[in-house]
Amino acid sequence: MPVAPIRVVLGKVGLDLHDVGAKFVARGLREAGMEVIYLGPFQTADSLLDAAITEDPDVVAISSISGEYMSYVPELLVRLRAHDLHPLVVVGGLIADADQRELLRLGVDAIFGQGSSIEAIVDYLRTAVDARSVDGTSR
Amino acid sequence: MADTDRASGSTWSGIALQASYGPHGEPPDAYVRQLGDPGVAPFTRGGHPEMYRKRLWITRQLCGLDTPEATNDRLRYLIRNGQTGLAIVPDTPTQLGLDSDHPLAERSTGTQGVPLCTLEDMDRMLAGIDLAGVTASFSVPGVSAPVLLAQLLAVADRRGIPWTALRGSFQNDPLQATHTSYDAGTPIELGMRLCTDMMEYCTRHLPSFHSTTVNAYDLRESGLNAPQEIAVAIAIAKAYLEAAVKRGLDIDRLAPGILLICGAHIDLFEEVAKFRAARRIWSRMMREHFGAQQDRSCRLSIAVHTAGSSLYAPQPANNIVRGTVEALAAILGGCQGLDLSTFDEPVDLPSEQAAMVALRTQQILALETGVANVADPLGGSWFVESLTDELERRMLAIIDEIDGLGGMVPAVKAGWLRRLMDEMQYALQSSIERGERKVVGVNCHLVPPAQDRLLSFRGDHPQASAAQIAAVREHRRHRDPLAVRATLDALKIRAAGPDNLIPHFKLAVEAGATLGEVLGTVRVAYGLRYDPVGAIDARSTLGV
Amino acid sequence: MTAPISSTAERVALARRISAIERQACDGGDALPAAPRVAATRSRVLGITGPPGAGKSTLVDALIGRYRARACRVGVLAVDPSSPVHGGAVLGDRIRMHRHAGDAGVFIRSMGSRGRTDGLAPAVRDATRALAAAGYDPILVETVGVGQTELGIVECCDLRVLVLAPAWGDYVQAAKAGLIDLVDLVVVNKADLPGADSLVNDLRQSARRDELEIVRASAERGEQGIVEVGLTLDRLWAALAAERLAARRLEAAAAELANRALALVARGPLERVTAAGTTQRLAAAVRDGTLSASEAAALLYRDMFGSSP
Repeated sequence: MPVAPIRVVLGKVGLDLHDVGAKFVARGLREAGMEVIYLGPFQTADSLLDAAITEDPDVVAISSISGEYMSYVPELLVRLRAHDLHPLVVVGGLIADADQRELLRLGVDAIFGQGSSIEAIVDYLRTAVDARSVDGTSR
Repeated sequence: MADTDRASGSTWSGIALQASYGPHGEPPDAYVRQLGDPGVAPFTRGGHPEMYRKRLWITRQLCGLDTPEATNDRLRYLIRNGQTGLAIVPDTPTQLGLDSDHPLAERSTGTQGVPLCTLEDMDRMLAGIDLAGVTASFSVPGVSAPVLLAQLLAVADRRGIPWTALRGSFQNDPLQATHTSYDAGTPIELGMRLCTDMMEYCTRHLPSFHSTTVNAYDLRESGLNAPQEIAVAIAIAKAYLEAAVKRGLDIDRLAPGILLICGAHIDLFEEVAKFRAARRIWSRMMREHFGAQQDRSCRLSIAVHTAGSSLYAPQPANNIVRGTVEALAAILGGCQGLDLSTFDEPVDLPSEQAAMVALRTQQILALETGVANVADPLGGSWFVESLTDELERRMLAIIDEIDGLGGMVPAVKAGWLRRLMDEMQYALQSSIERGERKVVGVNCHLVPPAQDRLLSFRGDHPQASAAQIAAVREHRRHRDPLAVRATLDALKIRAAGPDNLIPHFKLAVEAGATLGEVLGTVRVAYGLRYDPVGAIDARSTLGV
Repeated sequence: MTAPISSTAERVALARRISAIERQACDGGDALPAAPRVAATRSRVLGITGPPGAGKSTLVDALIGRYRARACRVGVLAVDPSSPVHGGAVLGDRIRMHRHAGDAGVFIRSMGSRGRTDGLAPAVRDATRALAAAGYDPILVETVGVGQTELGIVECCDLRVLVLAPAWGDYVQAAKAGLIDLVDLVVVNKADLPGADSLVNDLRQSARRDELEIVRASAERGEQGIVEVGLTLDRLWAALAAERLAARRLEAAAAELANRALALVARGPLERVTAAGTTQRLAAAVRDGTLSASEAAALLYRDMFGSSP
């Protein structure tokens, strides 16, 4: 029986324009059989929330190399929770050590820093989404 | 490089060196046709007979700190320490044409460059700097370039400096900017109009200023390979020149105003051959396609920035070696300006230590190694000449393909360049992930992160500049809103017609209009939304 | 009259309903408890097709803006191709519609084509019904645009718009052979590119109907082209609603029904005989030339249904 593909909303926040890494991840997830709703740069907590509502994704992924993630991700987490939405939230890119700890504490599910392989990201997402569907939290 | 620095005329063991070497006796026809001595068309062997004996390449370090004042301090420090050119990089909001206090900018103002939102910002950044005595190059590829030029001209007027004395450059390269999001969704028609306005204005009024720097560097960083990088850049330059020629400008006045800024990647000989092939193609295109009469129109000036994308986070000290080889390629290839991506670039904004290593790398290459002593030292190598010919063939084939699409403007509109970039980027990344293309420390000779003694990610992302945001808000409160409105209304009418907009930009910024207001007004005249990211409207910034 | 925006809770519920439709379409359960019954008269469904890069998403974005100005709730289903190899997809249509993010009167849903080759995704038809049931009108369906026979919009949409641009010669040739006779409006986008005039002439000559509507649009023309597209759509809708809408929807529903019934009829028996190894055995016979394909098919049918076709 075919299983519906994992759906991932992927975007970059604020004015962080360098999307080479984000695009590479998008294609890597696609090759792993996932559906990637690619939003590109200029996202805010608002626009990510909107996609998290209407696209009903399994995962919301934020790629950031400029440091603006701290201005948007915590707000996104609060707003997702306020609407009782529980996609996995993962952050990737250039994430400072102290920020990593803080983001995980605030509820980000996983962080993929510089040099994370596509394989590692795919493995994590598959396992984590599976675990959720067993829990019945989602899907 | 300090002005007194020169390449040497002899080897370490005292062998006297000629400025360049070529065939013995009467040069064969093929040599004259394909290569030519350094300084002689088609300039394959370099633009100048003496090359670095006479003058070393211009050394610059990109500079753009969180406020105009802080940037001013740094620029003056660099000038005191012998830097002859200013390389100014504005922050991302400025690049996009957003004001410092725009809702989406509030978190990035001043973090990756200097904010230049108002004429006062430009004035403060250049305070105490002799604009007639230094070249000022602005890394601004997108729509903001003509507005920042207007700010610069207004500052020159305030100080009584004649425009003819201004030297420097803007990138002013909308066809490239479209692909790095630096155009913020500006339609190509509008980008081309502003670009051509700027070329026309500079050619007529600022004879010593480079009106356009085609940004091949970012094309390369977006995944293109060496021949694609040059071919696309030359096709872009061709589109700009054709648009300016259509306005009745003389090619021999226009052409010297064009620069290419290229990447230098890690494949040493291919990169050297790339620069040589680029000069040959340019020279022939200028003469045969554009009918240029003067040598200086046919001599391509190349500035080089070593490839940030060739640097990696693991074992960052290895990046110093990569930068050295890439800088060597630029020098052996005969560049006119050079700066290096710093070794910490993959993990951080450049630290002072890393910037110093970059500068010292250039100085060691120039003054210790002797690689700059002779023009085109690899000329005549069977390997390098063969590579140069092959790269030229590939570049010409791509330029033909673009011509077949109707030129670079239709090719960009049709998505040709976007598709090419995406394909090439993915192929490149995949070949590294699969280990087909070796990168030491990344896919071979790995060190576990815990034992990576060379890894030094500080990880403190800079904070947005609250001072700058407050300064812009203050500026809005203290200007004469009626004067701003009047100049913007006039600009809107002009923008709907064919006039050159630079003088109207200047009037608006002198009246106190911000960067975002000027560009927003033009956008509205073009039937577009005032704000490129749709977050604010005109009334909110004008306070009416 | 429906309120011009919907609450977040409503939107969340609608999104989950569409997910359920998608999952069931994927699981092959065609008798869907999740699939809504909706009297189709409630919402107009507009299909936008054309090659990638011709400007479908940009047009959809502009139309959203136009309908929002009239306080309509706008639903968008944007389909991008899924890979036939691994099933993955990059769905990038939202990028062009970014300015509507956060507008609670716009509901944009991206879908992978998931094995369908007619330009749609398996769940599109029922998703339009779910959107209609939630008060969205109009509903804009943007097709994949890769195939050259994207006839799915005929089955699914009341009005069909084909977006073309001068640089897509091959696509235009293919479209002229089929699609062009089934669409109501052709938008010639990027009309400032060289070749736009000849494209318009070419279309006029090859259309078998005099009434084929052609509108030119381009960034240079700005809003003007879009206003014209919008007015034309209004006019076409009024004409359709007055005359042929019921007939057209009946035709579409009949086609949809036939396709679904075929799938339902065949799936169970085919799975059974395939599991038993019959399909494989007969395929080998065709490969080796001991049976013709039609002979093998007849034998397979007999195994599936116990009688001759």
